[in-house]
Amino acid sequence: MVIHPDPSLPLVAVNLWYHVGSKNERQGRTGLAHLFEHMLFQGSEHVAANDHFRYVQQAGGVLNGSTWYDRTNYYETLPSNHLRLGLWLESDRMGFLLPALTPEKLENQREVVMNERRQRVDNQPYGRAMERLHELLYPEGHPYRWPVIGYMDDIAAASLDDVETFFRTFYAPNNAVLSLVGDLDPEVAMEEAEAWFGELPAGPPVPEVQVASAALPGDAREVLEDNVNLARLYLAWSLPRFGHEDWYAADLLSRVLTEGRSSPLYQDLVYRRQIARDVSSFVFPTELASTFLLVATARPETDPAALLQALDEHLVRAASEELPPDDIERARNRLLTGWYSDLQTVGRRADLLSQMTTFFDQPERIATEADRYRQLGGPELRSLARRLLTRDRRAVVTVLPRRRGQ
Amino acid sequence: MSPRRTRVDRTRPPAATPPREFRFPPFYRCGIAPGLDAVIAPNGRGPLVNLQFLVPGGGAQRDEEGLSGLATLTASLLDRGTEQRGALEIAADVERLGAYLGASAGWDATAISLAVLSDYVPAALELLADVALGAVFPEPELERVRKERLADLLRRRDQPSALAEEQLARSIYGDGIYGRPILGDETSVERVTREAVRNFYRRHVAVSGATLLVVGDVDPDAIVDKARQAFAGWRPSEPEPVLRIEAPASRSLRAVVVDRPHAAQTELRLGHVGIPRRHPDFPAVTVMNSILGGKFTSRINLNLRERNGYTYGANSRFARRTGPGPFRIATAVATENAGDAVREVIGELRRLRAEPVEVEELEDARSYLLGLFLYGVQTVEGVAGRLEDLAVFSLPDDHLERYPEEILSVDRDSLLEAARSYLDPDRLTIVAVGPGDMLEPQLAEWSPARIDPGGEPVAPA
Repeated sequence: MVIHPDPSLPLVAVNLWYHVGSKNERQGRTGLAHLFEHMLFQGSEHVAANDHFRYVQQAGGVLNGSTWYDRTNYYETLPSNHLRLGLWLESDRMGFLLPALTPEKLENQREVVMNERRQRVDNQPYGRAMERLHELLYPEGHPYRWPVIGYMDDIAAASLDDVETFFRTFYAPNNAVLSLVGDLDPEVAMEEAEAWFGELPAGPPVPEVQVASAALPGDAREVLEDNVNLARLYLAWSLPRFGHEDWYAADLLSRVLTEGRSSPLYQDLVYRRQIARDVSSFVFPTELASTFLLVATARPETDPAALLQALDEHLVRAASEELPPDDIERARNRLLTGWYSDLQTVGRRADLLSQMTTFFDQPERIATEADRYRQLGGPELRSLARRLLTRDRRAVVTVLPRRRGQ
Repeated sequence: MSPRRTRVDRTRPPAATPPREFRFPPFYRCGIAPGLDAVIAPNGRGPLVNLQFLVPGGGAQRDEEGLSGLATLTASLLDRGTEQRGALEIAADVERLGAYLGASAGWDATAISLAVLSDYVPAALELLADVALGAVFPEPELERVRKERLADLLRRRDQPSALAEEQLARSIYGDGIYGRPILGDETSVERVTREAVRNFYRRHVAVSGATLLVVGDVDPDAIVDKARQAFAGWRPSEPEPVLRIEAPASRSLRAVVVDRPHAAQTELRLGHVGIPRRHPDFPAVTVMNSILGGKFTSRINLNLRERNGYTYGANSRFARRTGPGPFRIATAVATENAGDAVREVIGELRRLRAEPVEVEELEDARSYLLGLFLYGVQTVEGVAGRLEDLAVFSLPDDHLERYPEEILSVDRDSLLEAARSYLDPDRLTIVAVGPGDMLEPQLAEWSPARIDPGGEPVAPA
């Protein structure tokens, strides 16, 4: 548990990270962690279905939950006089979920999640690209191979038994971090948390995730057709985990290459040659490995092969020439603005504290995280590109406009 | 601290402790240049500042007929060249500070905003003034932005939610101002000239009545001096008279199907004309909408999602505009449920008009709205957004102080009255974007017209 007092506004954030995500699923039951997150809003022994939302919103609070590869989070930001309400609700669903679980609720949320998948993936332009990209990038048996939301057939197949087993395996105090941030007295908050969570029994040790040996994707390529008007390229590499020094170098390099109109890829591809409508890149903060993603949308008249070639030229340059210090300084300054912007809300701060505690058992890392980028310069970024952003380590998905008549 | 082993009572929600008072952060107003006021909200929650040059009265409502997209193209060009700097120099100077600059036009205003660390505020202010005062709209940049916009328009045709929103506006407002696409269409974007852009800038951006918003970690006195220096060259023209946008004649209930034969789901919109933001009943409409579709526990979301499993989510909204903007309900449903979902939504509208809401439902909605108000002031952008409302909708400076009492004064009677006056299930337009062959039979009772994503009529198979 982490407590961080900040009395500047009468607000308090309650944030719980369970150290379980889609990586803890197995093939045939993908999407279970996310479906399970939905079930946690369907009530628990002392809270009726949807009353979790009702109680928080009637107190003037804002709430949600989300599922990712490594973790599932649940959070509310409340007027600070309602701290106890957040603790009651979160402790009830951590300790007393099963008595409230019914087949009807599961049936309903399965439908909701299938519609969520349609809305976010199947009915979105380019929606299937990320899924295919991960399937090319990660070998059979690697837990980052399947999508967090899961495959449609697996969502449909999830049983009440699956859900109960999932709860017993992963939802217990020993697999969770609680962060409280905002207008609170630390001693009172500690006592309250102890009162609501202290009596919940620990669960069994959480089974370790087996990671298949990392066979390199070897520049695997696939072309998808979709109902889109502009072609788009997705390039991905698997890099070291979040927290590794290479991760920070990759994050900074990504920002140098594509962030803002001063970035070399924007200036060359979007501004000067006008062969791309946009170009962007990210590196995911995940725990077993991280995925570095480079995405570019072609102009209507651009041949996607020419765009891929242009991206390749930039990658080769990043691996052979040192980036100018000004470019790195710019990216670092933007990163800092973004970081402070993030820290404005108690909710985001609580989530970062939960993250640092779950992954590293070091909540205090929140104070030094931005400093990690200060030690990085041209040589580190070039080395990263040369060692890791190579062709044999990547996968490429090209999405093309569907040909007429199909 | 020794662990306390008192047993807690889990059977009911624990009592709240006494609330701490909250007031909207103080802000100050003063003149910076003739026709330009600054509104400054010093707010020290981090080393961040949000600067915004805001021109109410302009925006896409001023697009001339046949030149839809002019306001948004003009805004996109503001940071693409000034007397002092080229497009890439502006970007370089902004990004070197670690700042984020954005220029945009909504229906009612044009805004240039900068998010920046407080150490760099003087330099950022100078850049903001350069872009606001010195934009020169170079011809090659217009061509560049035009091509980008044409690609964006093409891309929007792939997006079912964008198609649905645009079709709904077109169906509600016809040829009226709010019926036009804010980004323009292929024809109008091709037609925009540099002369038209410069005219728009002179008549609707470089005008008296602009506001400089400064929110965040600043010393108010120091910032006023800096701002006066930076904006010393401001020579605004007189703004044009306020535009009056009339509500279109209402039509009877009907449906439009935008055919996407391969679609995995159907995007649904239902809507009709709403009321202007400044309308005295807007607070009642806000509380009413919260209950109808403005939050997770709203009637429409609980019905479509939690009771029926038709969708991942459904919501409703009254647009906040100076004129009578749209009221609309949005959801994406499994295609086989589209007809039933429409019937459920119409049923909810009728129910809200037929009987007063429960007391608890009303109290929940009011406290939720007040909670959102508090939640929003955590960030400099959130505070700036509220101050922006004052300028754009000409609301009095004490509006934000009075907001809680305005919301709390909405009772069951005024809410019922608002539902009866401003929800009209017999005058809805229904837009469904999805597989036409599956949708038409389900929507038959509203005699749907079928069109393709480009807006051309399609004959049923």
